[in-house]
Amino acid sequence: MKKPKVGFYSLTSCSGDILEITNLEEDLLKLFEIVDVVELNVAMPSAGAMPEIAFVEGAVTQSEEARFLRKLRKEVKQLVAMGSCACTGGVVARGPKQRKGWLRDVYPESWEIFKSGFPRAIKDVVQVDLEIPGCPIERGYFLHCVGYLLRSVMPEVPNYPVCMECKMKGNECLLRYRGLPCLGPITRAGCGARQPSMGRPCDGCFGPYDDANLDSLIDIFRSLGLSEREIKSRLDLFWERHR
Amino acid sequence: MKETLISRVEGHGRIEVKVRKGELQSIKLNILTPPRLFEKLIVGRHFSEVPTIVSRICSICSASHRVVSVMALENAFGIKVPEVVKLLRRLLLHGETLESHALHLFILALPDYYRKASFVELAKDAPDLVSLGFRLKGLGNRIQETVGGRAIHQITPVVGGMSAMPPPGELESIAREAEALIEKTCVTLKDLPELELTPLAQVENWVSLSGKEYEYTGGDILINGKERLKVEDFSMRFHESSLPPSYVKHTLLDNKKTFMVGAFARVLNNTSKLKGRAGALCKDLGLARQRSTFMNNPAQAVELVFCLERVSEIIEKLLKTHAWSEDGVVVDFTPGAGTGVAAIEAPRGLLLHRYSLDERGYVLDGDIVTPTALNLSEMERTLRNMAQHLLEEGIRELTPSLEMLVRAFDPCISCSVHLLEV
Repeated sequence: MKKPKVGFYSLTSCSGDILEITNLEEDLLKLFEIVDVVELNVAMPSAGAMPEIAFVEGAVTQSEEARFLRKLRKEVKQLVAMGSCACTGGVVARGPKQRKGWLRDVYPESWEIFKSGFPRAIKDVVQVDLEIPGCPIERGYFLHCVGYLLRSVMPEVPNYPVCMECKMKGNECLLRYRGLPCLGPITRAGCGARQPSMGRPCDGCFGPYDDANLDSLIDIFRSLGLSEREIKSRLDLFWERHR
Repeated sequence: MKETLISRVEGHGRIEVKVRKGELQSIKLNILTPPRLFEKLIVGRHFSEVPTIVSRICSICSASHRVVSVMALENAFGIKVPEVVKLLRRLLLHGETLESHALHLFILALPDYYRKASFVELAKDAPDLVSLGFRLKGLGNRIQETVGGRAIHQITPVVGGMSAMPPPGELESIAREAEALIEKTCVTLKDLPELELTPLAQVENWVSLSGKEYEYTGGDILINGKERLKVEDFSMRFHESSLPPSYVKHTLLDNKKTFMVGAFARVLNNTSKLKGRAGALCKDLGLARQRSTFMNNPAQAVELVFCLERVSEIIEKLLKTHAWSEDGVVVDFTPGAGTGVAAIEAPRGLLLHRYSLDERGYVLDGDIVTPTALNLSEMERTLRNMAQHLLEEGIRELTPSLEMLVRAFDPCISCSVHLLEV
């Protein structure tokens, strides 16, 4: 059987989602056995071919990136956005829509050469077939998605909150017993409740599950004594786009 | 003019070479990953959110960014953390360096040594070699997950301490795996062949932290093995300038000298502090004899063994000295107005963070100086020298050699794109 061509592409990002894929360690070699990887710049020179399935990490901040995405969209059967930056613009999609002032502050001598705009999600530029959430994505869930996509079936996404995973692990509830502003009750599960399991409230990087009740959680935060500035700030890390 | 997108490095960079009639006109390393403006993103945010935001600067060195930001904020508030916290953070950083060096050395750089296009090709001829690379990388990630909560964008280091303690059973198992890998790694890497290009890139200046022992936290800045500088005084000797069209600022020592940071700079500055099997491997590989940029690869080999030995030592200490509970260790403190600076050795070299805060602990401004940005001028200097030399020898195909040179620096291009003048 002919192996399907797969490509991995990086836009404006920390490269963490593709790094998480290299964290498959030796299983990465097995992935290379079942698919023909035509692009993975961090690990190999480009094969110079277009893939059938494209996985893209990072936000869109430049017209070259938008142009590249439109070209890619025309060529591929399935386009997958990986990670918070690709799905929502990510933690960097904050501040003024016009970046000129910020660029001038950081690069006073050379800001005019930058053609850098406000970070956009991939779906703001082209149609996306699947979003894999997380900052970073979870390598296990990535593999799960690959298995489905190779059979042209859309993978299932957990449609329940991080709280379910906390309960299954037997974690003490940080919101209820420690009064910490945890976003677990409104955030899609899939990470195994990583932050609450390590003593820190969930930052919500997977975004909302379908029935998430944000208003109700904001009321709980108010009853814990959080100021409006603190509540805004809490939701501003990963939830800006979902409010 | 020829432009080449460099593969097998983290992020997007291009070498731009202009040659006319066999003579080098100009050479530039253009960093193409666009700016994300992190110093602006953190202004006005509560200090507690800063480590979470800045760890997103880079995935490979997210633990370094998180830990050094926490340390800078602790310095601003005058917080002293207990020994167990220092040990856990060091363990986390050794996990990061294991992962980062194993990825770079085995998966990205070693294909050059065996004239292969990628690790996939290399795995066909030398499966054991690639497999050892993944095992070391896997151990690094396991340490980061156990101590930090995640292999990328770690969770536990917080201002005042660590938000959770790792399970002791898992630590014991990590120590056993580290010990099992020491011998195998030494035997595999002690005969690392020398690249033909080795004599063509000479290091003239090198900079790293240097303390009482070989470590990635603590100590002063040491220049060329002899001049000491306090971390707070960094900006007295090191100055940045912007050189378009690269998105990175260039940093020079005393306004004129380029310098190297990273594993080789650390080894050169601290050779006598390397003990045990790492010290022996350092001698076997002849690291102190050669001042070549390409020695950064064998220097990473030495540090892989150093980290393995250290991981097992730290775990032994941790399990002996601490009455264990899985709850975190966080000291009480009151945030207040002030400025804090901290530096650590990230896998790729010296990394500095500085923050100024208002009386309620909200950020007024911040500076971040990354190793790849510090290395940029040195990369361009050595590229120019090597290109000139190759052209004089009548060699027209410069690309593979120049790419190999850039790769030896192990540049992390995500990191290098957001510098504010100090």
